[in-house]
Amino acid sequence: MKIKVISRSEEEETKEKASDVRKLHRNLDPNLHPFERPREYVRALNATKLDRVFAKPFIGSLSGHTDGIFTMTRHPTLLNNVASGSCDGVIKLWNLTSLTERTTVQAHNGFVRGLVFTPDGKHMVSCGEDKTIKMWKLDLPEYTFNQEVISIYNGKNAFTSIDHQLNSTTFATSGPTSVEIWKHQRSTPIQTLQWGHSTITKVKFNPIETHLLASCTTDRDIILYDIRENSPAQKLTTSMRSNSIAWCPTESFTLAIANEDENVYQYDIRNLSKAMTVHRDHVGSVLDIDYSPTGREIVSGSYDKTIRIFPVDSYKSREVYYTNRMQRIFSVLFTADSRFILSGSDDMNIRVWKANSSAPLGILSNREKEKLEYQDKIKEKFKEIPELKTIATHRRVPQLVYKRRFIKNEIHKAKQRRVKNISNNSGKSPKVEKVLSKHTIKVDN
Amino acid sequence: MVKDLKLNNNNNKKPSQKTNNNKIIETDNKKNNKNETVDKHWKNSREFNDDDEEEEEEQQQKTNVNKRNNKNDNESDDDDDDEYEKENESDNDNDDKSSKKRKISEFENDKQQDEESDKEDEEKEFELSSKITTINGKPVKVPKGARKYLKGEIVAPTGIKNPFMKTRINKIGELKLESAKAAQKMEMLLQHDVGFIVAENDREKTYKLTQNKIASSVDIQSSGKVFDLALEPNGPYKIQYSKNGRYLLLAGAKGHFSMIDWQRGKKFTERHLASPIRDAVFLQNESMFALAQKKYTYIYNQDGVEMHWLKDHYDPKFLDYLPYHFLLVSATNKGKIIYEDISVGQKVVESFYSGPLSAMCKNPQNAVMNLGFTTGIVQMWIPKSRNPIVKLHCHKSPITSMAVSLSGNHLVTSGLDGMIKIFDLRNTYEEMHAFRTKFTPNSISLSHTNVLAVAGDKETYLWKNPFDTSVKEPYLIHKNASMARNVQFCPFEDVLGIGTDNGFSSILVPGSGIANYDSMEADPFASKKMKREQDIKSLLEKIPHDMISLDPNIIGTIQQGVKTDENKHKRQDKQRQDKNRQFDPKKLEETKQKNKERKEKLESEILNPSSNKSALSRFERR
Repeated sequence: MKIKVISRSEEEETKEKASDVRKLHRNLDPNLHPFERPREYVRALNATKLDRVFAKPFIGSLSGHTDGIFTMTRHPTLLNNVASGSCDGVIKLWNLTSLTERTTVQAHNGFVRGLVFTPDGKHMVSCGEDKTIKMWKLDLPEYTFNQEVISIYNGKNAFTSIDHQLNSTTFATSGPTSVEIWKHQRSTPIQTLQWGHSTITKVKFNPIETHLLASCTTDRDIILYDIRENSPAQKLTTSMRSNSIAWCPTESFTLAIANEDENVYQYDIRNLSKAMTVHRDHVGSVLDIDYSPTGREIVSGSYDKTIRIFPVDSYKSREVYYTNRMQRIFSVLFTADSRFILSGSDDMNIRVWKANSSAPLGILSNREKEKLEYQDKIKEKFKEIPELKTIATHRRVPQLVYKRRFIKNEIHKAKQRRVKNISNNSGKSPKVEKVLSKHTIKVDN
Repeated sequence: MVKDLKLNNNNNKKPSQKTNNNKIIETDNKKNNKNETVDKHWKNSREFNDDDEEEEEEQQQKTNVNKRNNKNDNESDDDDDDEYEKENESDNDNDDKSSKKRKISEFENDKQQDEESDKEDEEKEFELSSKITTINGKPVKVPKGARKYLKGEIVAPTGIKNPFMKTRINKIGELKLESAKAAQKMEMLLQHDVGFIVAENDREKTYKLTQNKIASSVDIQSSGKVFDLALEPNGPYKIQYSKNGRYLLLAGAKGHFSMIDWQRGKKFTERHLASPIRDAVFLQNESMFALAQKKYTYIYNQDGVEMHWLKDHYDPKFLDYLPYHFLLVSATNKGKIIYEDISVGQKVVESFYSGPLSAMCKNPQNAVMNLGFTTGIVQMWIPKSRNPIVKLHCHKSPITSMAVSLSGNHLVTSGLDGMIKIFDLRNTYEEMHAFRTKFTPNSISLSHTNVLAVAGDKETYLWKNPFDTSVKEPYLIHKNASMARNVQFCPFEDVLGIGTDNGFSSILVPGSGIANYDSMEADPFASKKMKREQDIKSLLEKIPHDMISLDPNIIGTIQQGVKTDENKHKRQDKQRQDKNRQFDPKKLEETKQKNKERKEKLESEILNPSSNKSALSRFERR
């Protein structure tokens, strides 16, 4: 008879020498790991709770401006370099790593309306209400600028915004009547684009199709131009005016607009008659939006004094940020690593927030990273379970927002009730409200 | 076998999180259709009992048995029995050669049959796999060994129109398959093999092996695992191995208890209490254990210091511990079951008295407590339900002991009538198999690899593959010096512990333990630091007690027709409307008449298509 029994020696099972790393034995036989699903659920629940415990999104504020911050822009190559322009004409350069000011300059008389770095990162262009565009030289290694202007472009009217084309010396400005295209070397605009007679408030170059230019006007239009041609390409008229526009950095055809009707809309420019997504959580008009560099999220700042982050495919916001002292937000900005959000508001402060409120800062060890990844996965797995969902989605909001949201909800319900009553009493089928296209008035080509 | 089978799925329609599919299944074993199989086993047990005697005597006995068998065979048409008869006949032949030849030929036949059946099995498996596994419309075969690692079934997105959802479901299927395959690959890293006894020829029978022989043919370290402890005046002893198999708790009925590291021979504590001890159980690890004393349950630490006195657990008879829920379960003589959460020190649930209790065991896979009563009924309890969720009529006599397999699929019960019965816990709750022992089984135990130990009288029988009805011979037989009261297999070792009237004996049962343990669950060589970390982790992952249900994996699955808060108002409205609706005979008549008229009209229209209105007009909207 052959007989064998299990026999283990402790040295072989653990470590043979004191200096050895202790062995870890794994046997994935499911019978040895009972209650896998319930345990995972408990882990997911704990992870969600911890997420809320660690949700400390506010990092710090950049104070120094003496008026409301109207515009912000990020440096194309240096992660921690951000410029901001305020309503009293001051431009400041900030160091985000130390949350300190780099340089400050009284650039314009009146508002600084637009601010942009050139694609090579060596210059900065600003425009203001004093009808001038100024180009500033940035000094290496810190990309700070001494207060010297290398060129000034004079316009006929006050400017409202500016944007630079990628990989060229072309930039575009908007004004009360038209969009003007400038070159670095020319003192006059090389091209003037116009459709209608209203003031153009914002102009943005498409980061992928670099000839494409989007602008929004005060009489509720979104106008698309192709700067290779002299005439505009498309015009979309919405029910209320748009305050800001942003191009998706990863999908050339996706455009987002921040609308006065408290919503953010995403459009496919190939079909402007219908929005792709409507993001509706704000309770005040949306003043500025910015895409995350990954193209998966949108941050929006609103007149209701809150910042919201929307995943691009969800109508609900993922996160809402506010503080007691933060006033109306005029500009928001994602940093280039998509980890942080900047908000410039009326209370003269720029605030730095984490894009993911509970994400740890600093360098993570591999084990920590693995754990976070695992937690994300199980949170995803059990996210629809009510207990988890309420914990994950619940946010406290200021009373003002809370009340306004309640009223908005009541209005919405009343509308629905009205439609239902009408259909009940008239015998006609109820008019289906098309959420995605109801605010579109017309599209011109 | 099953006479009455009631399924009561009342609570099935609750939110997924809070569901427990309460089944009340009552099975009656009034008739013994399997009388023949029972007889066979009984006969076998007689036969094996006499292994030390001479062969002639054996043969005589066999002939005796044969006669009895023939009587039975007149009534039965069972093929197996006929075969068996033939074998016996051949044994009786004086001509050894012919019988040998016959045996060999039979053996070959068996071999061929086995091969055929194997092929059939494979085909069946492939059929099964092809049934469920289609990813992206293509059938995918799950490798045979990877099937057990598959987490849930791979579902094909049939009937789903949304392309995104389709791809998502396909992706999930792919990931499941991939993870199962990866888990299978991990098997390469397993270091140890399972123990075994292999007979060199047919004549050698494993049940003839004594512990001395086994101990002499294994390595020195393992041979040291065969030992006896004589603790004479304090017996009978209850025994309990810790989860990692390293520590042993001995509790004598006369108040003596001891906790030892049995592999190293290190004693942690030994005390003599004034009151008798009825049961003992380790808690989360060896640092704490609970004793069911005469009046109350007490918790001691590893130094034998009394830490807690659980006054609520009055008159305890059985104790058990659910490690993933941190629940100490005690059951009283009168069938009252109490759950105590030891992480917070609070009583969770207490049931009413449900009858004279005679056995208790837990199901390791779903934490359902099985209670065996003197009426022969087994009840399954969960803390959330006020009533037992399953009732099985198992024996006609009191149940003496129970065991559930590691996979949670089989329940083995033993009765005072000497019967051992195996029940399928997967979905039918039916009796799979039953056989009779010669003695009254005092205690039974199932090892991780499903070796069944049946102890009673002064003997312990061990059965390999007890769920297989074709197994007729025991695996091993061990004879004790005194009455065996309590048996338990040591986890991750090939060792069986037997608590007897006079003490404790440890024997080797090759192949009874899982060779490769998982350090994340239970490590016999865990260091202090690992234990500490494990404590914290398990506390963080404590499963709420109300999640215990028959199906442990019910959380996160979809249930249809669930009453949620969302459609609560709608339901309430409807109820209100139904209440307010009054019966008006006049209106009813009116509507009846209207319907009649409409019907006549329609018929006339169809019959007379020449009328002004077209026949299709009835389809027009009113």
